[in-house]
Amino acid sequence: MTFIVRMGLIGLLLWVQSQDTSKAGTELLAFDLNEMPADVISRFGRPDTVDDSLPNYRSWFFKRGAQDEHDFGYILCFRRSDDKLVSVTRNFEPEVLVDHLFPEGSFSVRYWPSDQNPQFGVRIRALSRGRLLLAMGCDKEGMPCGQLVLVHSSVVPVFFPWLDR
Amino acid sequence: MRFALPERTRLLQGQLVDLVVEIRNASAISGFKVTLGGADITARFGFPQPAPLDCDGGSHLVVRANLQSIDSPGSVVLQAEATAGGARISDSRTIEVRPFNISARRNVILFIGDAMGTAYRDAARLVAKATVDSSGKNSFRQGFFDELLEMDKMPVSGHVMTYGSDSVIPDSANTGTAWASGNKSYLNAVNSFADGTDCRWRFNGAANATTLPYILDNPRVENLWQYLKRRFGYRTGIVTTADVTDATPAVEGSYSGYRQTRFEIARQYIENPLLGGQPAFDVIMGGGIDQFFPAARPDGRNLIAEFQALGFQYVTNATDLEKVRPATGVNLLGLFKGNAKPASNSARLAAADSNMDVAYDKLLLARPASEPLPDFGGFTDQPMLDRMTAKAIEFLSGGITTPFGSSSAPFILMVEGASIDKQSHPNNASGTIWDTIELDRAVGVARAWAASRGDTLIVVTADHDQSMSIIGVSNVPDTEYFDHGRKQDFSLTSARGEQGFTVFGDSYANTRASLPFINSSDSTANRSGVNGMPASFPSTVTPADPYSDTYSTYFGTPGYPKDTKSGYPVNSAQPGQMLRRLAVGFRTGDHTGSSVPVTAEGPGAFLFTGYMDQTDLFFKMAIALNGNTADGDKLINDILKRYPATVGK
Repeated sequence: MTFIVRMGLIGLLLWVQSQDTSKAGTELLAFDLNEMPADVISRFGRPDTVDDSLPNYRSWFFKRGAQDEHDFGYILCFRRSDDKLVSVTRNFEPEVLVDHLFPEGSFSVRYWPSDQNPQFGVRIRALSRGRLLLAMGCDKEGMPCGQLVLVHSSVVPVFFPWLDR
Repeated sequence: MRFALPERTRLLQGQLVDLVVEIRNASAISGFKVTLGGADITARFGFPQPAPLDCDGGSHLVVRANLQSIDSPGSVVLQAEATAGGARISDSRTIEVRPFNISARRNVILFIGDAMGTAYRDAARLVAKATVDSSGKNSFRQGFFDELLEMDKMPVSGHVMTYGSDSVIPDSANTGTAWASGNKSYLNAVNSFADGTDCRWRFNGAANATTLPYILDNPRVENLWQYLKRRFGYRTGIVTTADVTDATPAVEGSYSGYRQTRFEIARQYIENPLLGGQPAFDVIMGGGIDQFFPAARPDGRNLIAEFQALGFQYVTNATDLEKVRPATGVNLLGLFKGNAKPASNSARLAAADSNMDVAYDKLLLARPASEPLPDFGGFTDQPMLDRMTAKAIEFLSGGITTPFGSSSAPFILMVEGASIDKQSHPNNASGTIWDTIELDRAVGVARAWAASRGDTLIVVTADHDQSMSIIGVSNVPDTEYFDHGRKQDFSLTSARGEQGFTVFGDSYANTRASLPFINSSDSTANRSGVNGMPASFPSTVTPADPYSDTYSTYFGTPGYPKDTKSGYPVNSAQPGQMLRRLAVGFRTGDHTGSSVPVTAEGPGAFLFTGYMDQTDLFFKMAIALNGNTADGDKLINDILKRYPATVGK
């Protein structure tokens, strides 16, 4: 097989993968929310931007190419007291389907400001080791989603107090 | 205790700002006192309110005095103190207050080329001003241009440092905050400072409807557009090729901790919080219908109908724009692009961007291989930026007839070439270069209008730089340059994962991000020797070909022809010829931290010399409006008369 043909096949495979949104966000499940900064650097490289202006948390921002014109593709938040990762936010622009991450029966739905007055809904899937996966604003199956958040349940009261109520 | 104000807060006399005191680890305080220049202003503050500062679950308080101003110029000490838990706590800021008063009727027209760093201006010049006429003569010969860009012809220039408060690499929101309000802030901030509740949305990216109160509670600082309208009756306008709620236009008419709160920004355009609920602008033009439309807005409001009820003429295409005329009490709302898409599910803060199409597509030029084909989405009659600029000036200037005669209110207008940046993010060289040319033609409209008046300051600059650089010239045959099927995908697998990239047939002229120069052309003549890259500028003047000593006529490959109807350069070769194009490279698809050029003309233009901080632009525009610029203006005129002019100016 010539080099050109081989590269063409690899390119085709990459193109097919890039068009396949059925796996969008699955990489979040690989985070234990126990990682230290060095673990993240070995997996993701160094962040594009760091915000350490908060006394208790430090955020790392990663861009993912031209799509990230408005928001960063990944936002990783560490707790300063033990330097452990507490949340990973994945932004999609444009929005994608994330139903594969929320199999039937695996999640609950919460509404803001209340169930009686639903203006914003979140699908919540409880994972192992105290992790929660949130589909922000996408409470129903088939709704394109622009943001997934993997968050440790210990910081939900401070980051998402309305979910803790 | 701390004031949520930057260390170096600078204000104009009378400029509004929210004074916010954050008190951590306290559930109650006593003896709260705030002084300003020694005077007790405690009564201006409300009661302490609990606030989730720093997201640490602790008890914290915030005390606010919204929309305050300082009337005495000079350095003023703002001091707060209180007793909490038996201890006396305090904080202070020294605020620099600059004097301001209108002593002459002067207009300001500010042009922002979004991401228009030095290379972008140079590229626009090398394409627009190196065209070949019908006799084969190139307007760029032996290193000189017959005519420079409009922005090149302006007599004063300087450099602007664009750093944000939290990043060397800024975005359009915090850079806009710098030149619109005179103060630095963080990425994504629109005329707002950071505060302790940003942890609810900024540190985990959860900016959405549930966190909107924490996005909008950031301390606000008044921009020059509202300041001049509120205090001196200025007419105000924004013209952009972006969605009109995008960051650069947003900083003239709204206040938000996060630029993507587009629905709120549109609301503030019609009921501006610093203007007592009155509209922020007299003229609004650009894309972005959806942010105003009830089908997309969560509140169901039809802001377009509300603007019309307030006397705004509403137009949606270039043909109608040419027909509208200013009349008594009539202002202008022109929205030329929409998506008809609902708000994004995950934020509920904005509809999808609906930026106007870029100049390259509006001119119906063929897109090179690596650039996407246009999608007008039914909006096929969009105006060019120079026509929008002309109409804005017509509406904002003396075209208004009032019962007392022609309006004498001066105006301040911002005109943005938005897609210089938006096309640079995906490395679309043609898209970005032609948009820079489009902006320059709009500058020409303003210069022509202002030339004989002597009362209008024109400033042309960028909000930040982008990564394009000029790497030479290329002569790719059109058959390769425009072939969208001609591309090759590559991938690199490493411990960091897989990285993929694509090389397109036009890469010889438009090198993609992060790649070394790649000669993808099949044409043997392009691959090596004097024909190869980069930057062959041969001197081969012969009697038979007296104009061949420029890059664009070398070896029978002429430069850009000019379309006689539109006046724009054309990016395709004549039959039987091969165009010699400018070649550019993109190191990344993102902003850079390099300084950007600024050029100025008109009263007070001399202020825009040397290296300056971006916040200085705000104060320099203000000083120019003070009218005390006669000596400096005379000096510039003397220099222009006495010293050699640059060829082409």
